Amino acid sequence: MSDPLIPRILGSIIAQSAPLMLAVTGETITERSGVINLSLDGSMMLSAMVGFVVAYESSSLLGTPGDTLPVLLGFAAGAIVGAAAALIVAWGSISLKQNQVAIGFVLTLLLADLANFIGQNHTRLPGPSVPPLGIPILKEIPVLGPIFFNHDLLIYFTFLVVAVATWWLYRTQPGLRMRGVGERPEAAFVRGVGVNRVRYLYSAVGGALVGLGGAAFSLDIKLGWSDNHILGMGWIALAIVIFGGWRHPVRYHQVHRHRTPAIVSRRPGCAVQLAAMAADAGSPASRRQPGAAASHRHRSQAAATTPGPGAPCLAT
Amino acid sequence: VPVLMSVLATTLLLLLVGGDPTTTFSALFDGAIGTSDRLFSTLAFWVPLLLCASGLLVTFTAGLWNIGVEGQMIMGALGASWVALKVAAPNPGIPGWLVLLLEVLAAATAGALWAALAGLLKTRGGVHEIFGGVALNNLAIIATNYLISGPWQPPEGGTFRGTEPFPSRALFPLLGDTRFSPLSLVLALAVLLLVGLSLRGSSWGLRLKALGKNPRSAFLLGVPSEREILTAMVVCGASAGLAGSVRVLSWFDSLRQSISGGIGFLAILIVLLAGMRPLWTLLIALIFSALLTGGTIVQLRTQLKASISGIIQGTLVLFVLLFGDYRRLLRKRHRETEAEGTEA
Repeated sequence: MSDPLIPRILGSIIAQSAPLMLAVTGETITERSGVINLSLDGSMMLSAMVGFVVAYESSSLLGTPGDTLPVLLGFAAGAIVGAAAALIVAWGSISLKQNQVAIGFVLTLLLADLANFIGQNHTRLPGPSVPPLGIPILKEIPVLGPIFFNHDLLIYFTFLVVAVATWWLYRTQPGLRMRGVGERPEAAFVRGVGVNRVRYLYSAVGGALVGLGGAAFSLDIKLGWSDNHILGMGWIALAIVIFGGWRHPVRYHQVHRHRTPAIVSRRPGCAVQLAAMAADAGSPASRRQPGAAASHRHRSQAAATTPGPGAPCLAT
Repeated sequence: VPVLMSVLATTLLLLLVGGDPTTTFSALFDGAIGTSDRLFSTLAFWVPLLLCASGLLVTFTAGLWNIGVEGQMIMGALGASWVALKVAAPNPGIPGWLVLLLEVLAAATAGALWAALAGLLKTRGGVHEIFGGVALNNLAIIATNYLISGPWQPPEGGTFRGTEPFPSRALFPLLGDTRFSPLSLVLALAVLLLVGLSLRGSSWGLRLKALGKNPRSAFLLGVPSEREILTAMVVCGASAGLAGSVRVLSWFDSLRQSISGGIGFLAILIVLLAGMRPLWTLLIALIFSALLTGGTIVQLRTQLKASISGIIQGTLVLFVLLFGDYRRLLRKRHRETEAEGTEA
């Protein structure tokens, strides 16, 4: 193509945003069920590290030229790590009835340190990665081709995940039930939904997606492992979750009153666009500011009036 | 029990990566208080930790999660550096004590303003203080980098490391060759004492407590919540700003890139662990700063990362948080089963 630069940049923005999108979708799911997992930055770090190490070790163990299996194993390991971290938060807040923000915050620092510590012997090594995979005919389309169709499987998978998550949340019965648990736990309980069970389940699912996002960093976007590998992306993801407008569990009706124009759509799809924006090569932190500034006021109100979504879970 | 669990977990981890726990722990211990030199560097870390922690005592009492403490500290460092570079260096006539006073005041003001911004974002903009704080932290880091590589770069050309050293009279008087300044410790203890007393004994402290325990009823009882949120943030920011000034004026002798060194985050852990009790804060801050200095020695001796001390701290706080009132929970469960028993 004669002027491939801009499409290529846009394409790389989309590619770069994959880990963020995964993490944001995961966190949205977790928070919609009523658990706030603040450990995002740490759990992404740890899953990035574990994902890379697992992929690296298994590829040297297997000794096969193909990268596919090790990479898959790496992603699986990352997902497990993420889910485990989310489950710790869920367990602490639901079963032990402790402050989930505090636990999440401690985990953020702890897991990041853990990742740096355990991963110290695997820094700056070349390792397996996701192979590129352009879609044959579509990638030839001028402009749109390099933007959307010249990536690897992970990116397509990410879009799939976002679509499925949206569909699940808003178009299916379990999704409705889950939103009910997040928004009105008492009502959901009365309707016979196992509030705590649902919360555990979706915390794990969301955490697994966060873990995939972390692994996507070390296996696809920024290959390998180094200290503080993900550069605070977990915090950015947290901010995007708000910017994407996850509608606060308890005070959902207030959203409509206080809706800021910045919130175009409250679906995870919106998070996609913003994830892409934030992953832009420019300084991410400056983009985080509007994200934080546009977050809902209902959130602080809800936080001010109720002890938090973790608290109203009904003892069963 | 949580202490044991944390040591156990760390030991397991060490075995897992093939380290030798005994040498590691002894190196940790030795590194923290082994020689008078290291002891003083532990103390030097203790001071900013204490300052941040005493500020956080205020915000936590008011139920605020001031994660922006890190940024407030950086802004404090910037404020102190500004005085040192732009006021003290060109005017040699100003006596040393006045320079120090100005620096400390500038640091406290800068930190307080930064905190007030986060507070305003919360009360007026509806931004949760955690996220506003995270954003402001990053802005503070960016501002530091800009100043170091731009307007405040040393005359011999910009390095990304830091500004030129401040004139020595602009620094805290240090104890011998160490980086520890007794004056700053006095300052920190005074701030902690002041915070502790005013939280316990003043009506301001009572209002903050009410706000933290139950914001809604506090509001209904006539606590001006917006104003109190702001004052809590400002006090914390000023205190964190002082911590920043201690960092530039005694630990370093100039403004550096990584001025905060995660001290603000660590202070949050400390206050969580101390359960907002000032005396415990004092003690735990000391232990944590010992772990921090010990960690660097561990890295030198055993080729293991210094983040081992972070892991010890993190697991400790996590276990305390998770199981802190496990006994109370057990008792409650016990009572419930008993009640069921009598009903049946």
